[in-house]
Amino acid sequence: MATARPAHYLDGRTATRHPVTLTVTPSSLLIVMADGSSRQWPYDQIRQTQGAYRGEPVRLEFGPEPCETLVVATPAVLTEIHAAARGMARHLHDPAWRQARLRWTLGAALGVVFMLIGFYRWGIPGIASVAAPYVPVSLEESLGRQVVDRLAPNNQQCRDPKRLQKLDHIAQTLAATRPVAPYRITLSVVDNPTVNAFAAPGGQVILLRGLLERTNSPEELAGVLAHELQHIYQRHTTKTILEQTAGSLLLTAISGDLSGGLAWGILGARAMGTLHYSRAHEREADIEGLHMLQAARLDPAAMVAIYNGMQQSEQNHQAPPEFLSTHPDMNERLATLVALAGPTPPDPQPLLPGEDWADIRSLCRLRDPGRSVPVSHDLP
Amino acid sequence: MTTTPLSNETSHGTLAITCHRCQAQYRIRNAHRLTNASRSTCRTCGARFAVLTTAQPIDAGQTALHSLIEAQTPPAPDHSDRDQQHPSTMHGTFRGSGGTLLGMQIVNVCLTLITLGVYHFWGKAKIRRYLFSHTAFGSDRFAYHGTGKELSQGFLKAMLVFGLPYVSLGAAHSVLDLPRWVDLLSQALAGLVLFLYVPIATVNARRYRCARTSWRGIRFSFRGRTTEFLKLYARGWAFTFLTLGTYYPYFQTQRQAFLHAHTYFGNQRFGFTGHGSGIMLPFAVTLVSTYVVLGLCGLALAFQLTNAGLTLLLIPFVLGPLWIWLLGQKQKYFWDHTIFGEARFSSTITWQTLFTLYLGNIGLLMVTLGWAWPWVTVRNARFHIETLSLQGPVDLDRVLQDQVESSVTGEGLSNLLDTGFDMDT
Repeated sequence: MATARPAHYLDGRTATRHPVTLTVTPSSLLIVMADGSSRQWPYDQIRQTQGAYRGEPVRLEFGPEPCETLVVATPAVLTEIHAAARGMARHLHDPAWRQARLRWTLGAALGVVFMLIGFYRWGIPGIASVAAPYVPVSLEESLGRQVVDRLAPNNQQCRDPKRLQKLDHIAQTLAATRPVAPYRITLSVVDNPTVNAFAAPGGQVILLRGLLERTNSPEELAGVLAHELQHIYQRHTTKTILEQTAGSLLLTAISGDLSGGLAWGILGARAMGTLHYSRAHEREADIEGLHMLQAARLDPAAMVAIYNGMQQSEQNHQAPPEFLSTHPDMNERLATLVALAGPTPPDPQPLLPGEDWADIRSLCRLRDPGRSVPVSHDLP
Repeated sequence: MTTTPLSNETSHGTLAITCHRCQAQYRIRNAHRLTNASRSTCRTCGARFAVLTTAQPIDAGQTALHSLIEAQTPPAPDHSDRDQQHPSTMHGTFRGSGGTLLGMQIVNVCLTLITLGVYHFWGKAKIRRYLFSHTAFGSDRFAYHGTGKELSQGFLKAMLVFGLPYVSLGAAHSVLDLPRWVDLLSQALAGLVLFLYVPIATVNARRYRCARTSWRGIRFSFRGRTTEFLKLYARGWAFTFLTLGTYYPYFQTQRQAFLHAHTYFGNQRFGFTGHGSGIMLPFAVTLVSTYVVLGLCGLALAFQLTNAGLTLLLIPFVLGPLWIWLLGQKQKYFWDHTIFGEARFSSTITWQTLFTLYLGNIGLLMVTLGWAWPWVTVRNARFHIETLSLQGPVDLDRVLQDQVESSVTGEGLSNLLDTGFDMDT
């Protein structure tokens, strides 16, 4: 036998609360007002807007806006409705379902973890690979010009035309192995003692004096350039931008309303993701660079040699653990290169035969009138 | 423990008591409901009240009186509700749970990822519905009527009106090689878009949220015009700059007055009685101290008495509490000057409690790397709602539903600006 329950009725026109009693019947909810008048709400026309969570009163609405509302303190009325009219009340919350909610939530948590791993490992790099070819080369060139303006300002470039032409010859020899690529490779040398080189998107390679002076032969420089050219040909900068955009969107989806709250965790995750993709790009540039040397019929041993040299100097100071680094572990890179290089090719093509490499690589040491920056004092 | 005799019974079943500690007077309606287990505290001084009754059964006459009172004044659903003892004061309460919120958020993230982001708006509506459902004023819960569809449409609208111009102006700056004056012009325009976005979003988010919020079945509404708010905003910043910041408290008060005084509950309007001079002193103290601290830091750096990193790190620790103090003063001032009919809102925010709240929140978030967000939300909601009360006679029976939906769908530019959209603001 259905029991009468106390509730409040709001008519939607005034803020006055009317005490009523509710009775659950097989087809409708019977509402008896304090003055004895009554009304019936068929279950299939009742909307529930509150009461699906613990601690919420049950709020039932009926009719068009401004709708009539019933507020019942206990969810037991829902259990009773479901027992009395199961077919008509499917859209109303069933308190018995609350037990299952925890399981669903845990399932969702597991799903989130799997989806995040999937997006991180395959989704984001996949999106970047698919989208990168659609980015116009002119856009990359424009971006590249900005990078070069910043990293290699005109007044810091070493421009001895004769020697620069020789260096350029090396770059063009490598570029010739990719005749259909849409990039025009240009090389600039910056008067900076750091041992490093950059590839700007669109085809510009920036070589720092420190690295140039570290090379013992044109072939070693070719090893470095092959790696940097691959960054250009594989469109790594564009992919990085796409990966960061996709990663940010993904993290925004997770954080949603957590805006700010998860900021620290999210910044950490973003930085780690960026580093992970950066290492993947470096590995690709190594491998494809080596293939490029082989295609140009140059000796890949020189690439191994210059990497070896860099590893020696790296051992002198503490390198960060791999997961915190933009570059993969040097030992691992060397092992990959050695494995791929295989035996020395039978007829390696010599680069710049008969030239004095020691003279060419010192192009920044020569005072040229167009340069405002004085020669650096940290001579070896 | 303060005691009061139950002898001063008045007519109509109400009971008058006086706190013996602070002499505050209270009336208890529905006195027949008091039992030996009832407990309460004095609103003014916090003294505790207990009830001692004789073990007499309620007689027939009292029952008749009971039903008579019920017919005149609808009873509250929560019998534990403290407000019954003092019907002319209503308090805010928040009873949401952080655990439930975290669970909801996990499910939301899962569905958002599966739908490639589309579900975000529905998830947000769900969270809001939960938060509103656990917020009560007096003994009645609020209800949120917004939907994910409306939130997504609002987002698209805002993206079209603000996001697109802003992003394209920014892209023009970074991608195209434009002549210098075009570049400067586009940057200035981007700045203008951003400047206009804040007031327009403030007004329209409020319009939307009010229209989708109800209490006792009556909707709230915001009827301020966007163009008027824009004027107020532009004038406010202009005067603030011209007066080197002195005008700022008046600007803030005007802004708050505009937002509060154009808000309606049904057909009844909220009012704002402040004019800004009340927060002038806290503001001046904060401003002068900020200038002094920054000046001292500048001097220390100029004479190289300390290193730059340490100084920059110390500034938030010195100025943070000061700005929190000002924020507390401001919020208290704004609420204390907001009225509804003859009743006045009152806030018990103090800078100490606000500071404790923020410190606790930051601690929680740092220790858990942000995962304590749901509990921080609950803490914030509880703090801001439970420091609020409405004191004085409120005749809720006179409040009528007033559908203003049609009044905001005018024509022309004001239509575009005044249709109400919601963004994360």
